[in-house]
Amino acid sequence: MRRYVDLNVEMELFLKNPVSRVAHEIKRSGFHGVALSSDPNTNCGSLKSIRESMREHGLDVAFRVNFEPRSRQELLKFLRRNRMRFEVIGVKPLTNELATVSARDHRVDLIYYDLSKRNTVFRESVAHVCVGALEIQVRPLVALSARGGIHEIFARLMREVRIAVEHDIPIVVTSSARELSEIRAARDMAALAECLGLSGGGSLDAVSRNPIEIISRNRLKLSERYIMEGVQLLGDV
Amino acid sequence: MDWKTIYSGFIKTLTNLFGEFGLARVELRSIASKDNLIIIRCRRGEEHMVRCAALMLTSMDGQPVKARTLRVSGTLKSLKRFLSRDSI
Repeated sequence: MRRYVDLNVEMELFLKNPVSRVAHEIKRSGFHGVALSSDPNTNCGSLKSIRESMREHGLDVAFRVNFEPRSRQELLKFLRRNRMRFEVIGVKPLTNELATVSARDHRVDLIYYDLSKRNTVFRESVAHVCVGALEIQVRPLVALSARGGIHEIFARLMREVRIAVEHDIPIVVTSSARELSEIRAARDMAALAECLGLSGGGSLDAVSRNPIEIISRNRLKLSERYIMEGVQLLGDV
Repeated sequence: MDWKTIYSGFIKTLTNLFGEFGLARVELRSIASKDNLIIIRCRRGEEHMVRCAALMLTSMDGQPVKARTLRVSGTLKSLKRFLSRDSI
């Protein structure tokens, strides 16, 4: 049976609502886990207490941080400081040059774009060097659809999905929810991916297999057993 | 919210997303409803479009809403059985 994971749920959700209510809504939407996005300076204790509370409700929580670098140096400095602290790192590049730097860096798990900006898009040149995954967030998409002209954004996303598929880049669809009403059903999010051009299986992978692989891979790298790529300690550590 | 409002919300969202041709392709029909639950029939193979419409649906009659697909099935019997469950 597939397990669904929402790889981007904002910390604001837990600040505005009791954990039990958030957990209930996430479970109702069909998810088995989430990645909680927070500021790098957030207190680790509060994050861990949220994780423990969510585990009591049968949900797994991974810790994620998002970053919008303004320069290459800023990005590399951020990655050096935070890679070993968070299980998922998402980067929103503001220029195409930064997109290429982010895509090429193994420390970046997800790249996502500001859909309102037309000049920074996921291109062939970025896809060619990309080692992470392409993220499609539902909340900004829904917000922009209310303004109209969504067909241009859908056309852009369909192009980006096609490029990602051609280059075997995993695609992840997330809710990036800040409110309870923004938490969407897992298979509805997969349906969005299918409408954008992914196959039926690929669209389900975008909310299940791909996010789970990112979390598992990084948890292994952050564990004490990990030595280097392909090498890990066995038995008791 | 009555079923007509919910159904017309779906029609409007589907039209916005996929246009008149897309709406025609889906062959949407409302079958049954209970409280804020509605059973919608669509053309086989186009369920993802209706699910996508549920995802993008944000308001009906000026009220903010959130739609969630509970189940997809080929038979009305199983859906009605599912609707009658108390756990929903």
